[in-house]
Amino acid sequence: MTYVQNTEREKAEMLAAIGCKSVDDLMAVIPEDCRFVGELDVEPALTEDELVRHVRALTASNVSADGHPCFLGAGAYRHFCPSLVDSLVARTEFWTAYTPYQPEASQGTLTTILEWQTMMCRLTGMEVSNASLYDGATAVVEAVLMALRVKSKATRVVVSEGVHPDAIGCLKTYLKCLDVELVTVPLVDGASDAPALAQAATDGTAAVVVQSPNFFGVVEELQPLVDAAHAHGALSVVAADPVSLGVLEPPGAFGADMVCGEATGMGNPPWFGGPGVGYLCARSENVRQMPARIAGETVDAQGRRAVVLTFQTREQHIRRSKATSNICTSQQLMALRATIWMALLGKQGFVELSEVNLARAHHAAARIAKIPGYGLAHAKRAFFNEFTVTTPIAARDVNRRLLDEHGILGGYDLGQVDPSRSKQLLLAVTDSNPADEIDALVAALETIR
Amino acid sequence: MSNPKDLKYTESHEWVRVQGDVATIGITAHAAESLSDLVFIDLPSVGDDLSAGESFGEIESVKAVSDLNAPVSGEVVEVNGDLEDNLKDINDDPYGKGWLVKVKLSGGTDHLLDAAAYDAHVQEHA
Amino acid sequence: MTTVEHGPAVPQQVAKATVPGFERPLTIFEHSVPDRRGVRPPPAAVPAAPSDALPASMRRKAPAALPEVGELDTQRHYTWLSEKNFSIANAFYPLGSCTMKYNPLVNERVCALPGLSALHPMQPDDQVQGMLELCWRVERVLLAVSGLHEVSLHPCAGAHGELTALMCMRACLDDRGQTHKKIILIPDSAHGTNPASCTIAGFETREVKSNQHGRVDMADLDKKIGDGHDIAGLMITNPSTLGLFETNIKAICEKIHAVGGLVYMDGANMNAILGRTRPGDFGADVMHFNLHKTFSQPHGGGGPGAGPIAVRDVLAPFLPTPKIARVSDGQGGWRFETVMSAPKSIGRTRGFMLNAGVMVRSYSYMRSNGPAGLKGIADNAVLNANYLRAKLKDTYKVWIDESCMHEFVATAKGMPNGIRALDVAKRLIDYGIHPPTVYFPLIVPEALMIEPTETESKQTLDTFVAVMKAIAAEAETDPDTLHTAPHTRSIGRPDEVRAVKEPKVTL
Repeated sequence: MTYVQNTEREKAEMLAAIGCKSVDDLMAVIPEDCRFVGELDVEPALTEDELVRHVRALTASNVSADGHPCFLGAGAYRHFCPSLVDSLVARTEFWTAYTPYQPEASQGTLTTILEWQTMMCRLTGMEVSNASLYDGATAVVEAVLMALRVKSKATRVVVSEGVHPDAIGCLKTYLKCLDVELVTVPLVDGASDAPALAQAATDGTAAVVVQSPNFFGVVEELQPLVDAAHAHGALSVVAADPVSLGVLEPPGAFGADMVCGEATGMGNPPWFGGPGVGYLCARSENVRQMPARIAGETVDAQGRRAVVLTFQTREQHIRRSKATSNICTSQQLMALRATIWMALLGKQGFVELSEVNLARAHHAAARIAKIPGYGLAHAKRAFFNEFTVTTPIAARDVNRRLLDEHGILGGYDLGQVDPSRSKQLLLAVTDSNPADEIDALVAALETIR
Repeated sequence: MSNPKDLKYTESHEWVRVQGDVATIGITAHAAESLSDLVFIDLPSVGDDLSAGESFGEIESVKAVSDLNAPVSGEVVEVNGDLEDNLKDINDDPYGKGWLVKVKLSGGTDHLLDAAAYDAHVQEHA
Repeated sequence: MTTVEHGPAVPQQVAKATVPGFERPLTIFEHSVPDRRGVRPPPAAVPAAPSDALPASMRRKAPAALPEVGELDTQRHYTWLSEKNFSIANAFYPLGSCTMKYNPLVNERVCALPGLSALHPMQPDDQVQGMLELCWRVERVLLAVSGLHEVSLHPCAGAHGELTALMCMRACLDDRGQTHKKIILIPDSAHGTNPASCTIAGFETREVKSNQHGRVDMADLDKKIGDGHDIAGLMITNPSTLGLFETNIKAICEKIHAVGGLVYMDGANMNAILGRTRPGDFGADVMHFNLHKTFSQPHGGGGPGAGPIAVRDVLAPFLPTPKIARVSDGQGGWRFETVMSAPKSIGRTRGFMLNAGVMVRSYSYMRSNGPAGLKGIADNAVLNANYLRAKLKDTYKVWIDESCMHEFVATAKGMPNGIRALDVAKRLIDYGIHPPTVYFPLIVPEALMIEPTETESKQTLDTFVAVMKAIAAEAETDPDTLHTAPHTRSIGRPDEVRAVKEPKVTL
């Protein structure tokens, strides 16, 4: 099977127009000692039917949250998605368009970017947003790199251990290349330690990074954390799950300088971790240091409203080695899903959905805490839709038995990030976990001692 | 194109007007024209040191960005603060209201081009 | 306004007549009416959270001002917006360097197979064997076409692949005790992402000139290498952004290797050489793939993409983690494992592990084509590009007029009446054709970078040629129409200066 349309006769006509006998003649520009001869060592072609059957067979062994109650979160949360999102995004004019380099031919995409930027700023309490970033972890990195540009003489970044371990991992990798020191500050009873962060963030620190709700589910008391950053002039970077911002006061209200994170849960399935969509919002005074695309409204010669990509001189195709980022690709299609998702839920619905998460998680947590042998690891801390449970046996064994004996995909075994937490399970309970799933989970845990 | 005879120039299209030990620096009409619609300029602050041949700021149009290269060495004594709101001055009056910074010279100016040499340079690269 | 005589109907259905005060709102926010509801979320169906679940200081004071719209108005709004877009599904899109080809629907069908999109990234390996195997198979294909030794599917996009690869190069050089090697050589025709990635990876760049044939100037290369002491490597795009095969590529790679440097190949144009030559064979040590370009993946108006990298064995220990490994299951079969760390790995460069949705589509495309089909991608891309070059070269000056690969670069320099590349581009929109890439590569003045891809038919190419010739004629006879194009869209040329000077980036 092939997607080439030209017939052999047409190819012959085209070769004649070019003035050569065969495609081999055209390929002769490749020096002989560079040529690959023979057949590529790849598997044979499949027909459309064969292909569908093959992939179905290949992936049949997967255990999917589609067929099982699933309480995994740890940075990837499943939420209700209206049917209209799929239908609209399936319009080929959206999904087969390229980057909107020609505004007159891309007003659709550009307008949705402006809508997305507006929604993200209103959710986070910030002033400017870009068109999206690869994912939540790289969004944290980009926020930090931005802070390093704003504070161009700084040589240190401070991060709370409540930030997602993938984001901390990325920070380690990126900052090592730039000879910037990364200081990680441990949590106290699951929450970020404001005095310790302030102490670490002495002069020469570009940013203090926290996450709320943090990786262990704890909603942070943001004001002292933002103040800890500002005490010595560092910028405050807050990673936040946007869905939580239906009920949580936005980081912008506490004075955060950048708010970033993973927006995949808004209208996008988890897709085994990608493609996701990251977001980054900031203060307008720092817009010239933002990475990646930004859409802005203007007018045409007749005064008609138009949307364009703006502040383009920040970007790699113009500024090259001095660009604010090397990023070219955004996660436009995922951001579009999130935009339509936010529009459909709307002002009230967004809050309601957020409240459902809060209610279900608290309902589940209260019941699990009553099961002998189980408890809440950070009982004094506030949480949104995820919480850390202490388990009577190793968390990985709890998970194994949940699936084997009850058909439930359990939580995240925290022993994977911290051996001292091997008897702790991170459970996410969202609007995608109806009451009967919570009942089933509680009943199952009662049998796992 | 003819450029003022009393100024000195660089191949990277900056001009210098020397009055005593103070040099006024700007970009040439040719540079302003090729950048067209200017939208942003990043200039040093009073007290900063400029080093001949090195970048001392940036100037941007919508789709281009250009380094400003210091034609001479010296300490910045004045910055054209009006430019921020009137970047058009650089296009409209590059050798007058469109000046960028004034520096107190700490080095020579012999390495600079005179108007004739600069005109020839522009012609050659047209 | 002149009549559009050529090309398909312009893909847009914006109403031409409106009653003042009743124009369609531009954005979803202007559809908003207080208390209107769209989709209602599921009810909690459990007791409400206790009132002290969140302290007052954490509670949101006022709801975010999201739109308040109904489902039908939302459907119409986004349908209307979609109609303002050009896309590969409704227009020829010869966007050089960006490779816009047919996005087969079977890819989407495969992606929609039950359970795939719901897989959670934190599920243990034994629950996701199928997904891991599929990704491992994608790696095998990338190894086969690259001639290299190991692959990482991590990178989220091409530029992310560049960065990841540069980080691996840095780690490798450091491991050899060559921390002083800090210079990456980059030809002047390179994508802007190359130097930008170098900066973020902590390298400095040094530009290498092109010669009059659009290839790397070997004398300048020697000069820029110097004694080679500080040379970390070279980033080279082959075929180049001029659509030309770098004929000295072996010699270039040897020069870099001779001074202990590593060669990075920007694989953006891999679609031109599949099955014809392999980067590993001509000397590249590491390369990235743009999966959407080489193996088709809808670009969604700017993403998602994926930029896997393939490396020679010397760089393999430094690849990011986690990565996929195939191990014996002890019963004559295989099982797939996620390796979370490796001693010399650069570590993480993204969240979770890979863009699985992109991998499934690319795998679908790879298997739809098979070995002959993959070679056919390159052969037909090169045939189509050379056909356009041959048919257009008497009307538009082709910058380097010799046999090209998947694309060629023409120039609008010297067109009559002050017509620029931008004018030609905007006028193409009136004819229902997406403009080529303009003003890139930077070394060509008034560049028009044209890439037809393998999936376009001769009829489409002939129509494009006719339109380009009609525009060249208009440049002589009716330049004003070009200067003010496009005339058929919902907007004319927007005021981009105002967008920067009076920024309005939120509503």
